[in-house]
Amino acid sequence: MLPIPMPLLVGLGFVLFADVRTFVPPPFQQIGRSGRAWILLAFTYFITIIDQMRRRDYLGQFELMVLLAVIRIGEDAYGVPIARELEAASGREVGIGSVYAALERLEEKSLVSSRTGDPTPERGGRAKQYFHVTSKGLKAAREARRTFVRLWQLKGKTA
Amino acid sequence: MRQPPAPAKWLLTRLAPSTPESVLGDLQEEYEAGRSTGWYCRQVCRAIVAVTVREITAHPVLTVRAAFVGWAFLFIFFEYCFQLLISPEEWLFVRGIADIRSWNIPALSRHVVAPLACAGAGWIVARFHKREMVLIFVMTVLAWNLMEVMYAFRQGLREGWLIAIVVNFAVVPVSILVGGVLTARTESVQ
Repeated sequence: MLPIPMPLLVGLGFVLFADVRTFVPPPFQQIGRSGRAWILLAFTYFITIIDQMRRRDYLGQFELMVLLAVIRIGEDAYGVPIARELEAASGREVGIGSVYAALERLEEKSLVSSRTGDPTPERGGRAKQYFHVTSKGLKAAREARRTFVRLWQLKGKTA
Repeated sequence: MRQPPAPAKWLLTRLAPSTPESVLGDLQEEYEAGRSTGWYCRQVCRAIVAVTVREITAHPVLTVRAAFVGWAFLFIFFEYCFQLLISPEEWLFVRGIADIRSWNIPALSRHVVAPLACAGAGWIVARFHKREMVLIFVMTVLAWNLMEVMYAFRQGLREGWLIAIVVNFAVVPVSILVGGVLTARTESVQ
């Protein structure tokens, strides 16, 4: 369970139990205590979902695609070739910012490692960040492939 | 050397300062290689969203605190200070402090004070949290305003509906964003 700090609890308790009619606009004046309890519950659930998203250890679809692109490109894997590889494979425009967000998550899970290259003038003097798949990353990719193949075979049997 | 559109680049560095420098370099490299201005702007929007989502998932409690602080500022200001600024003599009279309504004190226009207050809320959220949190705060404000406008329409709002829409969905969010991006604190791009 997510540890919720005391000020937040006090604030939510105030929202739940205080007489909100004095400062809440008209649409919310009709909400009773049980309604506010439901809102509080939904809010807590929302925070828990975000916390679970942060802690999840399985590979998402986009993360797996990025990991496979890094494996495929090899030594020269950085944002641009990874994005181009994904665009060529999926036929859709890929956000470079999203690629880096996925790479950061993969690095947090120790599935890829990164090193900073030299700054180049065509990049406005900014350095490239190269990514390399780790042995744990290779293992995770193989495991994902096995799972997909098994699921695909199961689908074939039922179809 | 082909330079990417400056407003898009400025928006990215100001609204999502946690954007890795390598992202800016990659965007510049691709733009130099012949990508269009539209592509660059789309990539900037996606990068802002990606960085904001990353910040929310990395700091969920800070995100909630940012929204809470922004709302607390707006509530305190509009509840206790707004009337004093736009009509001080009325404020003093209502509270029984003094009757100086005949003095004709020059007051500030509500059309200036309200956007400034919203900009102040955006500034406080960005200054004391992370600048990406301003977008989250704006989203909560937009959701709230949407409910209020819908309620007003249900209650039979007929006159001034265009002003209500412009104020709630353009002036208020833009003012908050302006306050947020103008935060003096310099967060170094990673």
